Amino acid sequence: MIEENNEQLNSELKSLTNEELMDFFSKVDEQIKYLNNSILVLEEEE
Amino acid sequence: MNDLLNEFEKDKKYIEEFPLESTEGTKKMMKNYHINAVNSRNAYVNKKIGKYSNILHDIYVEINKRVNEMIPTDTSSEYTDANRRINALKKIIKYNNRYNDIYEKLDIDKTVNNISDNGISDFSKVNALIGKIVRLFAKASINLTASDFDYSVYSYEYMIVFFDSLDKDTFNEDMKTIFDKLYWECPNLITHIKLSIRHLSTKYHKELEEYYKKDNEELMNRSDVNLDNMHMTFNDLIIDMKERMRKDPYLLSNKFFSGTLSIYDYMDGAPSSRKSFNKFLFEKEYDELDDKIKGNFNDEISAIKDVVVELKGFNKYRPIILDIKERLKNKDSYKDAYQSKLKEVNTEENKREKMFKKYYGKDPKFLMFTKKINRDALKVELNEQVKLLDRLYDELDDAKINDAIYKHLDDTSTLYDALYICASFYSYFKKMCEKLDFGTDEIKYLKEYHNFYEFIITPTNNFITKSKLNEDIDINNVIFEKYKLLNINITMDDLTDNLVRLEDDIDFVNLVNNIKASSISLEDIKFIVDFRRIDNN
Repeated sequence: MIEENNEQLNSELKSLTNEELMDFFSKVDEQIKYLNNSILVLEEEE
Repeated sequence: MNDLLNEFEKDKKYIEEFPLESTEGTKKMMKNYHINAVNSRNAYVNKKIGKYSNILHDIYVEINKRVNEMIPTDTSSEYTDANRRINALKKIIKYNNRYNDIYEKLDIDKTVNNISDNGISDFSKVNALIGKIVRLFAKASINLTASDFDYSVYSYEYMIVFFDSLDKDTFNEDMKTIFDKLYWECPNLITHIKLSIRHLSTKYHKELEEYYKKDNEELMNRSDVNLDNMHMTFNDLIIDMKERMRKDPYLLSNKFFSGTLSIYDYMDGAPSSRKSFNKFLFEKEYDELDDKIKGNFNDEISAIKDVVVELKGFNKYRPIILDIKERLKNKDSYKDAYQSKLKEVNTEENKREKMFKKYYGKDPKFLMFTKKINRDALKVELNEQVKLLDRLYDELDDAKINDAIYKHLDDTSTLYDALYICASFYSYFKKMCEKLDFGTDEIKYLKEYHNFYEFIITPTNNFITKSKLNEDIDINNVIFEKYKLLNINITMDDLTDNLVRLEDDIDFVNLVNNIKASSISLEDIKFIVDFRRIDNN
């Protein structure tokens, strides 16, 4: 299933223009940054 | 891709709406609830980070692959042969300069002039320049020894140490020692060395001439040119290389990769791009023009670059042209002046030679056996004679360019003819550099000379090769009117006070057009630049 998804993604990436690809990279990168910032840290007393 | 973007939205919604607090139960229960909720949300976030990081990696791999296919191959080596040919032709053209002789053709004049002003701190440069002369003479099968520098007591003694220490590790120390010893006795030591080199070019004139002729012939055969086609071949090579470089994707894109220029400024529609293109138009904007008019416009802007470069050179060297014009007014007085000055120099050289022989006797090696004379007084006399000769040689240099003006220039000569005569005599150019504040030391003067010479031999020069010396043309106005007729908006301010800014705008437009005419696009360059930015983060 994962391999299938990977293949599908790679084929989708190949079909993108350079601009779309770069834009996609930025969006995924931004999402990762957002997710990283969303990680909550529990205070010690908790 | 869209599925993933939807997933991002869902993530955000899920994370932001995730219930982290409970209002029910005891305080401890609420606390436990919060801990569990935070852990649960973090687990979700981490899972997503893992998933998206893998996707990001896949995208990176795809971009990297495309960038590698796109990056232009380094073409630097493709110009090596052409550059070698161009340099050979430059030497041939220099050798066959009809205005000067081997003293200038073999660059002895440059060495002599550069030796003159080097002070104590630069005495190692003097040794390097002497070494250069020794090597040049060796090429002409003249193996110089200290005896050849028997110009004065000081130049001779200095050169004895020079040749004795030449291959020793102690060379610099030995030369420093002899320099310090002689300098306090003769602060004009450098001038003595300079004039002794100058004198050598006269002494060995025949051998140097033979060497020059042979070298010239070999170079011409190797380059397959003759006197009739050397200039044309040179011009064709320069123009061809310039054209190749103009559309070379490697050279074009490197301007952006090195960080000198920002590709974002050059993209279609970018404010700076629109401003630079529209600057040259009277009414419409560039984007509104049809393709044919755009093509004509682009061709004209490309040609204006050459005009601006020529105008800049003309403005810079205008004082030199004016000086030549002034000299031309007294043309008739130059008849025989050079020969007469040369005769004077030779007479004084003979006197100096006699003084030197009187000091040392017939052979300097047997100083101790010569009859007793007042050597200190003779040294002073000899020094005064060298000072006189230094001044006379200065006057001789001046008479030499006047002689060339007398023989080769008249009112119908072009600006190019006048400038070429100036470039034929380094001593003259150096004096003009000093007068015009073009620099403060020999390295700058040589660089200025190089720029001056390159300017004169630029194949795309137009008006300097056509305008006559006696014409008083307002070049700025001629250019202004020409481009007005071609519907290109260039103001008089652009051509006078804002020439540098005008050139920047021209370079901007030309760079965009050259990229568009090359095998790489602005978008490709931007893609590579963006990738490198990602790679550096």
